[in-house]
Amino acid sequence: MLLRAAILRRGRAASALLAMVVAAAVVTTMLNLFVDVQAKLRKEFRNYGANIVVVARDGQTLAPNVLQKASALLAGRGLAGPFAYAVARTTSGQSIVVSGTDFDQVRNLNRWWSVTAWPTLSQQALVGVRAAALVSPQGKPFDLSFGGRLIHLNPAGILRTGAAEDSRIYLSLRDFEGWTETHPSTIEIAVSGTPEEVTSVMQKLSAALPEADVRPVRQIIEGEARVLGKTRATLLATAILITLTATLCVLATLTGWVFDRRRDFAIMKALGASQRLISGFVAAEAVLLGALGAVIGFGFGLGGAAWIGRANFHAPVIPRFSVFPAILGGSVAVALIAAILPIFLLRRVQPAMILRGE
Amino acid sequence: MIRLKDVSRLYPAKAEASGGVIRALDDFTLSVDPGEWVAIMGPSGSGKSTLVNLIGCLDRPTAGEIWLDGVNVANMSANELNRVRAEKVGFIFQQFHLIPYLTALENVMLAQYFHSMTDEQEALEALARVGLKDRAEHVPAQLSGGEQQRVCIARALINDPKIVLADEPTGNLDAVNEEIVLRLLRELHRQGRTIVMVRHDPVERRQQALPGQGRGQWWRHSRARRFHPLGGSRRMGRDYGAVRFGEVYAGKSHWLPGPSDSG
Repeated sequence: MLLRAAILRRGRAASALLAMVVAAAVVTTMLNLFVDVQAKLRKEFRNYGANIVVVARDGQTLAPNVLQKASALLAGRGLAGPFAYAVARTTSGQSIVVSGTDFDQVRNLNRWWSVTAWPTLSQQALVGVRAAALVSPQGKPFDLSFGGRLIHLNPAGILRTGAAEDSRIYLSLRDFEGWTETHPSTIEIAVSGTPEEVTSVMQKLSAALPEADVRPVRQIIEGEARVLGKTRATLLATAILITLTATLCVLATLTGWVFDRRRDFAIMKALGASQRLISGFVAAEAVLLGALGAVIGFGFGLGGAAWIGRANFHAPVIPRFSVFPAILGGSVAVALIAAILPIFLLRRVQPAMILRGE
Repeated sequence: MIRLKDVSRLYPAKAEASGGVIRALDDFTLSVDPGEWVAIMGPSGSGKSTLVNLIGCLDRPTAGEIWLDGVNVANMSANELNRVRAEKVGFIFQQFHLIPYLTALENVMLAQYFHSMTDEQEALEALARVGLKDRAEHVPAQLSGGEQQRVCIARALINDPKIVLADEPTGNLDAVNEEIVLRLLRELHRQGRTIVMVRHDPVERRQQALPGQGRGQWWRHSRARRFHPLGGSRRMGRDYGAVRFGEVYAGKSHWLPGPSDSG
């Protein structure tokens, strides 16, 4: 019945459907961008390194099982890299900070580090660019001493961060512990998730590791929260404005659509149709219109999101089919809200007057 | 079957700057027995359609009582009136008023749907009775005026109503189709249905009326008056006498006079 009524009054039906499709498409685009940009931004923020640091209290070292506990708590939702520190001496007697770490974790944890080559073998070192000028200007092997114990190291690669790391030498944790007998005092952790989720992980770590201080890296967490919050607010505000505009468009077209068919509804009333039944017809038509608009608009919206992703972010935006239920529910809700006024107007239709042609 | 007692219907006079009212019916009284065929006749503006709308529960009287099949419908709720329309009344309109995007069969079945439940076979039989079984799948735009009116008749009869209200059912038809429709109405009358039919052209009908066949009963009906809030009532026409002047199309007629009618 709706289809045939739509065919008979193509203009109105097309306007109503177009309004729904445009609304659903734009909101789909916004939600896709929102979800995808959020994921992309989180990934970018993870490249900036750890957002939580676990430090041993009073300059002590952490117990050997702390790293295992922290990794178990993360349950695959983050990375944990241990760091042990010592101040060693070069052959010329100068002091230099040496750190033992797990290179496999650190290369994923600190993606922003600029490294020419990562150490893969025992007694290979990652040498900060300023430290290299001191211990191995030509990239040759060098010796360091700590507590009267010597270690012979081969520089595997040069590290550039523009920060304190440039003045350090990094060894594998095994080589470092064997040489200095010093265990990690710091664990850097990068947790994926919203700022709330990061805070939740921090609280769990604090509870599980009473012997350590668990601290946030505020610059990262707060910066992330700020950027994500603003992105979210902008996209949601846009989506709400578009939804409101679409509701008004659908309201206008649906009212016109029902007004055009008031004679049909008057005939139905004359034949004995109750107001509830006629309201049900209009509501059912609105639901169908909303659902159809959602399906078509969702397709266009995915296309729009992909285009914006390529044009603005130079990266593909992954289609998020998980937003479809929200688009479908929202479109149907918008259509039903827009149908309230026409249903109210239909209640006032006097069949006698309409059938007389007034 | 149908009894109207002192029924008045007032409409707001939108054209009047002072917001007056138009009296479409004024203290109208009528009684129709079961199985009777009554023609309501009169010129435009005499209140014929208003009367049919009131009997058909499409409108409510401003005052008076309307009894249909022993029940006073004047003060019924909208839902109760819907049921009365669905169960007791069948409408035949001058403009046919078919749903344009439904086929003839679906138009008939729509009335079934509002009454109780649809039965395609029964709807096809109703179309067969008006000679349109082979046109069941056509939409109104594919049917002639006469065929559309026959669909309208099939739709009016599908729920077996006790009362058939026909508002100028042949007004838009040529002579051939008019005869077909009137033959169908005669058949309905023979089956014992109560028919109230509005006819527009009084002169033609007077010519067809056979003197001496009628019972010569007079009906008084004061026609439209406009009332002004400050000026009391200003009668726009005279009081007219309406005569039931004979058997017309095997029925009886009520004459509702118009403004230019001399009575």
